Formats: sequence, structure tokens, C-alpha cells
Amino acid sequence: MGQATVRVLYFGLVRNVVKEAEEDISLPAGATVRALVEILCRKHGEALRDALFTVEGTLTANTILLLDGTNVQYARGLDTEIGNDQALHILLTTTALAGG
Amino acid sequence: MYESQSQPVKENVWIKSTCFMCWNTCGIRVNRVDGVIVKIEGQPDCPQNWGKTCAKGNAGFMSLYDPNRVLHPMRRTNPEKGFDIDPKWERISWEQAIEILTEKLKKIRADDPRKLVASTFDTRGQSGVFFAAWTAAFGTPNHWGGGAQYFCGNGFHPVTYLTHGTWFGEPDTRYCRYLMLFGTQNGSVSNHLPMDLAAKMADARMAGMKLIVVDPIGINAGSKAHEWVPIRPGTDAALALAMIDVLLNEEGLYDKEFLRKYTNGPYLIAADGHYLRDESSGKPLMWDAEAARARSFDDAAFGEIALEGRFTVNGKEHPTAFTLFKEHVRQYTPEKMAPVTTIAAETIRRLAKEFGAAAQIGGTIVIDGHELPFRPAAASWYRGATAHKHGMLTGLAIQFLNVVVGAIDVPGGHLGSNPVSNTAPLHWSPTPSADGLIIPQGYARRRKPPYPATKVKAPERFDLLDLCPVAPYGGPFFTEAILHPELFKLPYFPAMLIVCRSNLLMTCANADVMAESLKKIPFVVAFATELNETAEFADLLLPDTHYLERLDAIPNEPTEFVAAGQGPWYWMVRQPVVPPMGEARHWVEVLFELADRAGFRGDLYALLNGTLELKAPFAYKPEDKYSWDELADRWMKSWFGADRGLGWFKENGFIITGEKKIDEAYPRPFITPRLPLYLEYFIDAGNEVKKTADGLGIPWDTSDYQPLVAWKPCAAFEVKDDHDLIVVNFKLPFHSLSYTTHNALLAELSEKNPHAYSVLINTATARRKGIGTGDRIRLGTAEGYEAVGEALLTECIHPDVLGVAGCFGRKSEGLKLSRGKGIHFNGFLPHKLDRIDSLSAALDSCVRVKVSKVEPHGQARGAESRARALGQGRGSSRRI
Repeated sequence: MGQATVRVLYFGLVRNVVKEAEEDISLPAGATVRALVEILCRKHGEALRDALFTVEGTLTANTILLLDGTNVQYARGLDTEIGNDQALHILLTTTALAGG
Repeated sequence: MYESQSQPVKENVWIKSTCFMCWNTCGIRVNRVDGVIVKIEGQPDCPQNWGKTCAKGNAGFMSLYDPNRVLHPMRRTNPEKGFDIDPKWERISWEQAIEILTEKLKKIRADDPRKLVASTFDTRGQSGVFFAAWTAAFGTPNHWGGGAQYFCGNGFHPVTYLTHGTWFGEPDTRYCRYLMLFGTQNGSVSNHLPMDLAAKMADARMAGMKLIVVDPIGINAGSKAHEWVPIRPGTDAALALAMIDVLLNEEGLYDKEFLRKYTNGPYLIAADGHYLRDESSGKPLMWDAEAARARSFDDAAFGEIALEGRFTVNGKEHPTAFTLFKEHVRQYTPEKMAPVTTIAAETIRRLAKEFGAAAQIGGTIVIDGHELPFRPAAASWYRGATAHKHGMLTGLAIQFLNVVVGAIDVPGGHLGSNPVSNTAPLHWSPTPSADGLIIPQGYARRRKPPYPATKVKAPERFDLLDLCPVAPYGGPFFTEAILHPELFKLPYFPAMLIVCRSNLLMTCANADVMAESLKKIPFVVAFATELNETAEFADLLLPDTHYLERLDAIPNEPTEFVAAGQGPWYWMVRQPVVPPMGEARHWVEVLFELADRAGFRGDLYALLNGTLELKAPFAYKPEDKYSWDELADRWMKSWFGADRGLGWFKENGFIITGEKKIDEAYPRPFITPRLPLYLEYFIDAGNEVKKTADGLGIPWDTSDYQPLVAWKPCAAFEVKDDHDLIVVNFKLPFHSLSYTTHNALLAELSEKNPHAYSVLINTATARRKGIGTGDRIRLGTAEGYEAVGEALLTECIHPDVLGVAGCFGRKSEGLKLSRGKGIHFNGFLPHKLDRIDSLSAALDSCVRVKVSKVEPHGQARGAESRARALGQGRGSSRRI
């Protein structure tokens, strides 16, 4: 099976967990966003998993994953397949200020 | 003889913008004559308010021209902070201010960005979205949301998230014919979309809708209702659950089809309270009455879903969740809840029967060719009911009134604020979790939904949300964590606070407690238009623009400030009508300049591109630097098209992108995710919180993490010694938080309105205590707080309650028109961990007081006149 290289870029509060701004990750061609995120969580520890996911394994409200600029929710979510040379942006935004 | 020397008018224009005297973003048109604003009216065709404005909106320009405005950057030279302490301001330049801030922010960001705390209620539209992105790019999760996170939607927002899939909700007054309001004045210029709701409410009343207002205070909404039901504060859940008991267990009046299809009521429950799950798939099971066996809830082969009963699976008997719920509410009989609520049992029973009958269970209506369930009965609620310990359980109990009769997201019932959008520019719709329950999506999940629960861990943020997996926010916990950091084991302490449009000292809890917490933060930066109490504690005071001087793209968020139900989708703009006075600058623009100087502008743009889903060619490029106007323009063009940018919006005021389709207006019949009548996930969430808190030695109440809602008494329920009355706060339609009290026109209204600065007391209660209208009375709490005010006798208040309005008793030297007038209600409230609802972070906002007369009636007028001459109003407060 071939390999793909995907560039992962981190923005926002996730930088408190992952200290680097970006990194390249190799993974099998056709791998999903879910598989990539699992690799990242194993690499950077459970703190990353806790930041990105709820207890039921869904993304938290302030986690946005963009694959080449498009939110994966408009594709197949975490099951979206990643192509070679794509870029995954992990944005951990502040939950929109609220109250009232 | 004087001769008029009028000059010819050179300019007389009307400019469309959006009000910001409260947060409801009414569309306004502002008349500017020769550079001066002379009048504000509503935009006639704006769907937000259809040409209407309230007194606050009309008076907006008076705060623009307030002679006490902060107009220049200032630095504090007196290190001592406190009320009535002169900061000894030194005027500095903006460049000096920016340099100070840049240096400090760079240092904090390099050390630990979490040491920056930000507090604002400027949280909607361009300012709010861009500020949230700024804090994320900086790296701090620490938002201190201010007063609105103490008392406001704590027990509302998480409930509408759970049951509608969105942040807000309102009754469908278009079709509702029986509306119960619990602790809210919907339709009386309070709560959200006040102009739109006032009009709809009036139309509904004309069409025959019966309005029942359940509230300890009966002025405003209560006085206009068909029936005002005075209730003991903090017992709304008791009333709601008693009504549900009548409906389920006496009348058999509940929507079985709705409960079967759209709730987790049919889910089978194991002995430990968790769902009974399929052994291989792990999915919750329901009972197929046709096949006489259990199946996964989403099994396509399901025959008839059993809503009630106990069923044997693998040799063990399991009830459905609804069976447990129905049995559970039996303890809340009208007879038992009558002494709790002080509402007669026959009244509770009658209200329940009326509500149930009005719901027309089984009825349908045809709208736009679609036959939909028709449930013209709704219960709605807000702060008055849920600003208590146990506020989340209270909100759930009231909403479950709507749930049991099927009045959720269908015509006539309680509607979520747009949980579904199938109309450009954005699309969203709730999806089911693995357990089949509602998960909000898209724009609707921009806040913190309570489900699924977030991970519990040792606190790393000062709002302690790491210990609050189901809370929407944690404002009151900020104060606790700042005052007692050792208790919560936080690994750092704040170094700087940036605050704007959040008067922490006045709109949170006791001002003395808030002052102590502010003093502990080494450096406070306040952006302000007025020199309010919090601004007086600043180290750096910077002049913010007034809303009539600023630009905010898209201030009306669709999940809160676009009406629910039928109607158009629309998006607005707030634009400057006059240039900023003095050296005022829009505070978020200043933050963006700081981002540029501190080196994180590119990250900021990337976050905004993702949050706003901006598309090429309008997405922000990290290598470019955009002005505030350009940021707005690109956002608008990305969403609405290249010919619908800022210029178009300034000309037109708002855009209508379409009329809601039937599945957007009334989504319930069209979506599959279920809502939780049984909060099964609370069990594990509570266990996780307990385990974590106990492990850290943090005293934390987890008793409300229970799957079945309940009424529980708050601290003020029992009479203590001679503290026999409960003091509560109530809203006036012409004031909003603390922001409006010193507006000249609104302050004048306060003088003329009998309720503003007075203490409302029930006529019979007052006479029993020898108190008459106009008497000076002292209110004192067991914790030692005292306030003196002028009594106003009225029939429109519960006999056991005193009413103190608004956010008065101002302390700031800079607020000449409101300083010392009225009573600062929040001063009554002890700020303690055990008075904060651990589920929703609501601070319990009622407290027992004893009341006594200060002096005879005849002397009061003289004393009051002297007090007025000294610039003191009809009330004063102090800690003894």
C-alpha cells in the first residue's frame, strides 16, 4: 500500500498542548482523518485527545478540522479520506464567548 | 431682543445601523443633522424589530454624548485600588499604551498565555467572533464572562441545547394559545428579541392566547397577564414537576407518540441507572412490543416501540426510562408542592389541566402543504426561575412540561432558535450521537453544548470548566478560583485582565468580593466608554468607541438573534454614524494591532477563516494586513457574494437570504436525533467530576448529576431567625445590566418610575410590619450586608418577597446621574462555592433578609430631600 504525506498545522488553543506550529505525518494512502488524528493523539499524548474530543468520541464544539481549507464536516467528518500532500488544519478555537 | 440666527442645515441624513443598548441587535435608523445625532428610530422593514425600538434604543445617543465619557488613554499612578479611591490618572498617548500592552502581552505569551484573562460581554458579531479568535490565537482559554454568566441563561441554554439542538429558544407565539412564563418577561421588553416578541405577543393575545405569568413579582409582565401566579422564589421546578405529575399520573394527558419517537423515554434502563445496551453493538435498547423482544434503538426492523412498562431481557426486568420518570414525578403531587411553592394545590392542578388540554395532543395543522403536529401550548422560562442553585434541574423540569405534551419544535410549542439551516450561506442540522441523542452542529454549536460531556480533568482554566462537563460557562467560578487558587490547585495565576463591556464589580456578585478578586490581578486593562466601577480599578484605561461610532459585521447571530419559527433569514450590520469622539478606538481593532505587533496575526486570520468558513478569494491571507473594514467586507463577500460586501450592507442595513422552509421553522418532525428525558449521561459525568475533585481535595457538590430531574431547595428556602423575607432582583424594560443607568434620558425615566429605585414590598406584609410607602427601610442579611431603600407597597409582589430592580446603587465617581441611587441588589448575594449550581454555574440570586423601618414616614421625605441634594438617591447600601 502506498504512503501519503500530510502536513498538519495547529492553530489556537491546541498550541498549548502541541508546542509545534506544524509537522509532516506519513500515513497509508487513503487513510482517514480519524486515523491521522489517532496518530497525533498517540504522539502528543492524552492531553491532545482530551482537548479535541468529548467523552463519547465526538469532536468538542470548539474543535475545527479543515482539510485543505474545507471543514471535514462537509465531507465525511472524521471518516474523510486524506489524499497525498493535503494539509490538515487543527483549529482549537475558544468556545464562542457566551452568557446571557 | 433676541434674534434667531438659525443656520441652514447642510446635512440631514438617516443611517441604518444596529442598536447596542442591550444585546438584541434591533435594526435602527439614526438621524444625523450636520454631524450630530438627533434621533434614533427603528428600521421599518428590518425583521428584527419591524421599526420598533424601546426606550433604551431611543436614548442611545445620550450615552454617546455623555460629558463624562472616557476619551483619552490614561494610566493609573495611584497603586491603591478601591471604591472612592482616586486612581490619579495620567493621560498618555495611544502609542505609549500600545507599547506597554505589547511588551506585557509578549511576555505573558512567552511565559504562559493562560495568564491572560479576558472579560467581555461584547460577544456578538464581528467584535465577539474576532475577539474569541484573538484569545484562541493568543493561547488563553480564560474568559471571564461577567454578570451574564452568573444569573442569566445558565439553566436555559444547556436545556435548549439538549432538547432543541441550539443555544436559545422561544415560544411559538404565532400559533400558541396557552403560554406559561416562568421567571421571564417575554413580550414585555425583556429577554431576547424584545420588539419582535412584543409584537407577536400582542398579536397572540388578540387572537385569544391565554398568558400565565409565574413569578414572585407581578409588575410588567405579570400585571398584563390573564393570570399572575405569585410563586416562592426558587421553587419553579416544584410547580413544573407537580404539573407533570398531574398530566402523567392523574389525567393521562401526554403525547405518547412524541415521547416514543423523539425522546429517550423508551430506552431500557439497567439496575445501575445506565442504559441497557446491546452486547455486541453497545447501543441502547428499547422494547419492541410487537416482536416481544429488545432491539437497538435504531434497528430498522423495529415494530412497535414500548414507551412504558418493565420488560425482561436476559432474565432481568428493566423499566423504560419513561416509566422511571413517570413514577419519579409521583412524589411531586400538588398537595405536597403547595406549601413548597405557596401555590394552592387546586391552582396547580387547574394549571396542569389547562396546559394539557390547550396542547391538543394528537392535533395537526397544515402549513405550506405540510401536515405537522399542532401543540398550541408552551412553557418558557429564563433567569428568574433558574438563577438559583439547582438552576439546570429547574430549567429541565420546566422544559419537560413542553416535552411531555409534545410541544417541542412544532407549531404552537416551544421552539429552538434555528437548530436547522438549509439556506445559504450556512448549513447546519443536529446529528445523532452514538446513543441517538441530539448533537448540535455548525453555527448552532459555537457555544459549549452540555452533551456530549467534555472530559473532566484537574482545573487548568480559571472558570473551572474542566470540572463542569455540562455547564455552558463558568463565570462565578472565576471569582472563587482567583480568591482561593490554592483550593483548586491551578498551576498558574493570572497576570493580566483585559476587560471591556463587562462591569464585573456591578453585574456579578457582591461588589466587595469582586473588588478583592480584581485587586489580586497584577495588571488590569479596561476599555471603556464610561468611567464605571470596573474601569476605576484599571491600571490602563483606554477609550472604547460607542456603538454609534463603530462597525460590527453580522451582529445578529442566527441561533439567538434571528426569530425562531417561520420568517426570514436575515443578517445585519452595525456601522458608524459619527466618527469616534476624542481618541476613542474600537477595542477589538486595538487587539488586532497588538496581535500584529506581538507576531500572531497570521494565526488569528487562520482561526477566523476556519470559524467563519471563509472561501477564496475572500479568505484572510496571513501575509496581508487588513483594516477592520476590510475584514468585514471580505467576510460579507465570502458569505453573500462579491456584490454584497460592506458597502452594500451600509446602504441597505441588512440582507434577507430567504424565507425559512418548513423543516427550518418546525424541525422536529424532520430530524431523527432524540432528546433526553432521562439524563443517563449525567451519572458518569458526575462520577468523573467526583473522582477528580476528591482526588484533588476540592470540595465540589456533584449531587445534581442525576438522571431524573428534581426540585431541591436553595439556601433561601427556609426562614432563618427573623430573616423572614426573600429579596429578589427584577428587570425594568428601560434598563440593561449596568450600562444604561447613567444615560441621561433613562436616568430621568428611573426617577419618574416608581419601581426603579424603591424596594417593593407586599401591602399586607408591609402593614403587618408597620411600614408605609415612602418609609426608609433597612434590609439586612445574615452575612452582614445592609441596604437602605424607600418602601413601595404593592399588591404585585409575593407576600414573602422584597423586590429590588435593575443594577442600581452605582459607586463610580464618573457616573453622576446614577451614583448612589437605588440599591445594588448584587450586594446581598454571598459569593460562596456552595451557592453556585455545579451543573450550570448559576449563582443563587435570592437571599433571606430581615427588614426594619429606619425612621418614621414624615421624616423620610426630609431626609430623602437632603439625600437627593447630596447626590444620593432613594437607596444606599453598605457592608456593616
